[in-house]
Formats: sequence, structure tokens, C-alpha cells
Amino acid sequence: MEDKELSHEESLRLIRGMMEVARNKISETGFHFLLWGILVIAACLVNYVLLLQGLRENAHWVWPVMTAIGIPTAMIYEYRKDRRQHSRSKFDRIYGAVWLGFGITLFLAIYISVSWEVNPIPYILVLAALATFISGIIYRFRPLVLGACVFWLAAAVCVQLPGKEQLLVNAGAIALGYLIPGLLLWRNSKKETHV
Amino acid sequence: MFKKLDPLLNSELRLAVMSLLIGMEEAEFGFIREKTAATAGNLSVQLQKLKDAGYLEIKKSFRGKYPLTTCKVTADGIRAFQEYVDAVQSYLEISKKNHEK
Repeated sequence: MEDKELSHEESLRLIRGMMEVARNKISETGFHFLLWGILVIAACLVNYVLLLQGLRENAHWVWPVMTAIGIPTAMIYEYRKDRRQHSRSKFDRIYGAVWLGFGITLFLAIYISVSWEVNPIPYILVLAALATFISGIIYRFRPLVLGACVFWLAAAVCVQLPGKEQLLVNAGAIALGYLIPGLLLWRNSKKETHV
Repeated sequence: MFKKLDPLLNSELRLAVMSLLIGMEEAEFGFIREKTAATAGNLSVQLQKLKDAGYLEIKKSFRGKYPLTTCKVTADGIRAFQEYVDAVQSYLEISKKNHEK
């Protein structure tokens, strides 16, 4: 590209082209979807097995353990990513805000549910659905929108099931709603890196 | 009556830089160079011109041992870009109407 003067048509074409480059830039690598997807599925399954074996008192400990593994890992990854990131779009800022808001709301929703002795899984699923849906719309990435639909459906199904079985529905929903879009984003980001 | 186009923006590389940055929070020199396919020297000169006009904010820092240049569009830059786009669009609309007559 040079320092040449442009005709009106050329100007408009150039503006559209460059704005498209900025708009289509997805800096989400899928890492967080894969990390939290694997952790939540593992926690659900361990919790389910512990309940099956009658260890009800100890079963809920898997969740704080999962959080204690997930949060530092996610923070280290973000710190390292921030150091090598070349640009940040306005969408990235909104995207970050959505997931920060999700994290805070999720924490409070779990706290409220536990205090009221209500199963938090349907609430977790609808919250995850909202954040995943907004992310899919921001980045125009359909697998995330479909993932959100899976979460909404799973939340409705969970209400009809006993607590123990809700864990299996949650694990299945997370596999479809987080792991598949996460893998696709991860693959796309690797492709982009090698261009 | 045609609005006069901002001569600073009516250049391929400077307009490309502004169009790219208008949709972003900020971008590093390397990213802009990659997307515009410009040479480092030419891009530096054009970024400086945009900075001197008050359209860009350029921040120089270090990442580890290496220098890092980050660019961001200012409020004046957004206004100038909007006026430029409006002027180009109005020109194209008028010339389209003239062509239809």
C-alpha cells in the first residue's frame, strides 16, 4: 500500500475492506471454552459418581477444587496472551466485559442458590447460555450461538429431572456448548497464526 | 455543493490505517503493517502525519527488551473520518443522480 491519492469509489472500497478486517478479527482462541468445558465436565462426572457411592457430604467439594484449578490457569493464560497480543478490537473489550459480568453473576447465583438450598445447575446453564449467545453474536460465530441454544434447552430439561441426573445433562450440554465451539475456535486460531 | 475532502485522509495508506483503527480499541505497529502491507518506513511517516494532525495517539513503550508502538484513534480522528466518509458518500450520491438524468 502506498501514499497515493484515491478516487471516491476507491476510498469507499478501501474503507469497507479495512473495516471488515477489523470486524472479522477474532482474538478468542477457544482456550477458555476448552479449559472450563473440560473442568466442568470432569467436576459433574466426579460429583455424580460420588453421589452414586453415597458420599453426599463430600460430593460438593469438587466444585471449589475445580474453581481453584480453573481461575489461576485462566489468569496465567490471559496474562501471557496479553503480552503477545498485537491489537484489541472494540468487540474484544465488550467480549471481555460480558464474561467478567458472567463470572460475577455466576458466583452470586451459586451463592444465592446454595443459601436457599436450591440446585444451581439450571441457573448456571441459563447464565452460560446468555454469555455464550452474546459472544457468538459479537464474533458472528454460529457454533457459539448453537451452543447457547443447547444450554437453554438443557436448563429447561434440568428442571424436570432429579438433582443427580441434572449433573449428567449439564456435562452433556457443556460438551456440546463449550467443547465443540472451543475446539473450532482453537483450530481457527492456530490456522491464523500460521498464515 | 461538494464538501472538500480532507487531503490528509485522501491517501491510500493513511485512509487504510484510519479505517482499520476506527473499529479497534488500539493496535500495534506490527499489526497495522501486516494488514496494510506497507513498508515500515512509509508507515512510520504516515502515522506521524496522522499524529501531527491530532487524528492518532501514538504510545511508545517496551515489551520486555523490545520497543513497542501502539496506535489509537482520537476523538478528532473519529470526527475527521466521519466527515470524510460523509463527503465521499454525498459525492457518490450526487454523481449517481447526475448519471441517471
